[in-house]
Amino acid sequence: MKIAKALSKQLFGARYESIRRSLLAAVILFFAVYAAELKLGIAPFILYLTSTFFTAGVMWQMFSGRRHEKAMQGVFMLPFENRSFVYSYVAVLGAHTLVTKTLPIWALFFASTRWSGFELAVAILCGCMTCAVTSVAYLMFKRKNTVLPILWAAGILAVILLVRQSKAVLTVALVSLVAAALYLYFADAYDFYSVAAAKKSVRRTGRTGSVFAYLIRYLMANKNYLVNVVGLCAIACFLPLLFGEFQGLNVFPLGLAILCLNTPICTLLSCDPDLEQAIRVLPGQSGRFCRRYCLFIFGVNGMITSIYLCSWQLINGGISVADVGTTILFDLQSAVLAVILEWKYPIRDWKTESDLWHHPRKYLVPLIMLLMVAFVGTWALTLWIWSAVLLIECCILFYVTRRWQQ
Amino acid sequence: MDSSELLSLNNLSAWYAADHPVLSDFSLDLGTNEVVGLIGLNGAGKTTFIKTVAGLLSGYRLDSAAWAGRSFSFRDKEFKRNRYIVFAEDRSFQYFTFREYLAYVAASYGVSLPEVSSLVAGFHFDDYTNVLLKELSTGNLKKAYLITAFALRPKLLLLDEPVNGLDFQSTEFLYQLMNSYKEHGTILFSSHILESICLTSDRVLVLEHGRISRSFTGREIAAGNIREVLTEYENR
Repeated sequence: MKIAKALSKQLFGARYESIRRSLLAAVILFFAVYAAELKLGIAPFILYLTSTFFTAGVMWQMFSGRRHEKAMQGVFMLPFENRSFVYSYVAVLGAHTLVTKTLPIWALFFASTRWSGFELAVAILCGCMTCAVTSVAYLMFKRKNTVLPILWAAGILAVILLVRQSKAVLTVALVSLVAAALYLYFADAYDFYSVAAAKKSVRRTGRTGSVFAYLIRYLMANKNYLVNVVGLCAIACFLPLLFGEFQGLNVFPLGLAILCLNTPICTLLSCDPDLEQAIRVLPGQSGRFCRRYCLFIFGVNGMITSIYLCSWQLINGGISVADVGTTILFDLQSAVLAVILEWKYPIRDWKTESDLWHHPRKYLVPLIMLLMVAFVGTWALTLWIWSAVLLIECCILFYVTRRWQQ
Repeated sequence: MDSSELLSLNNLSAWYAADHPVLSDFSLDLGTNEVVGLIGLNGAGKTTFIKTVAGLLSGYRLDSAAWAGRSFSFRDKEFKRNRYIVFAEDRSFQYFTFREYLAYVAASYGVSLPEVSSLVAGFHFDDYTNVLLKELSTGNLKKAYLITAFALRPKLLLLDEPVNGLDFQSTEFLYQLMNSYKEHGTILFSSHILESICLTSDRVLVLEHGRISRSFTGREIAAGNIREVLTEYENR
């Protein structure tokens, strides 16, 4: 119980303030959607699928987060009873994931569609089961046993997607929960603690201190970030297939707005407080670092949207020069906005990488881009005006950052 | 104002929370070419002072601030170019090697790449210059930032707990560097270790509850004198 309390305070805050905040946000979200009478016909299996795989993604992030690892070091130093620690650890991490991350998603689902009590209970059970199963899968992966967790996840996915029966999902969730609890009964608490693997130091002969080289190394060293970029590339491939069904609507820019949601690349300074401190202390960094950082995000955005562009041409055809221009505008504008946000309003006081990745600020740039989609779709002149505004914006930023650099 | 005065701060107050100032009525005059040690108990405000001068803290107020006789603010680019700061805990630019970091910082300060072979040898750092900073131990990382600091030779060096994490040989070498730095500029450093204060400082400032309560110069700088003052504060 003591361990559970200590862990809870570490994750939720000394007075459990993040529970209150998350509950309030979920209630506001629920009533906002409910009052807007936004009614959608969502099939129960979509609710179960989201409850399961969204929660699994967040839980995995929690387990593998570096900040969380450091915090855990102190807890592992204390004397503890193994089994009680394992269950407390999984329960607290699960509760944190469900309350702070899955709850807002549930609020959206619950408000936009009418569900039976049974369906709601199954969805919540899916969330709880996922927390337990993900912790078991994490332990198995650490022991290089990758086949069983993949098969397990595939089995759950198959039942949700293929059977699509609430009772079948309930049965699978209950069986999985019991199996996970049983596995955790014999688990060693220290298996949750990751000791940094001692790698042989790689010698590098660079002499220039290139920001681009730095950012590429940063991206390559963090597998989660790389997976996110690869995931966006995959989405860029398939979006034209989905959007092709909207006949008569110009949905091409919508994909560009969605694809600028590259959280890890756009939260570099928030993610690394020491780097942020150094950037603010060294002279001329608004130019030397931020300009290059902006170009880097532009490059990554450009790579992803190029895939989208090619995929669109292959699947739907009809890509014009104006579409290429629109793509460049979206890439550059979102990069500029992302860097301004990072420089002016970095995210602070986050406890786990998961908090950082799911911070509401990440939706600000895509939201602005969605507004631009609406303008571009309704008024043809928007592209020209936007090009001129962006050009002026870049010139002003270049001038300001150059002045600071000199 | 004295022409040899480098930095003058008058009645500085700094805070993280507005109702709880960490520094209050803190006044300091630094001359050119001197080494000043800042000592105080935990929570006295040493790191807060260094962070304020670094321009990291926005919660501060002061009556006047002068750099080489001219009024300035901590975030002025001219001031930034003339000072370098080594923090007690720093893991910045993890994906640069020391060589790359040095090149990047030199370019940021607008100076050509400095020669560091003697500093690298003195700190026994030869084996680590081409390794990512991320892979360095705490002590070696501290050496990387200290070598950069002394290689850049700014007019003002601010060092927060510079001895922490260093081995015996490197500590001795650091003392030598600090003593000879007077040829190039001024050092203001904080430390908990009396030895480092006594072996290097021309002036020692004792920080108590966010203000300078005592200062020692010349022959007064002796471990016994400073220990007596600190013990007295602790027992209050």
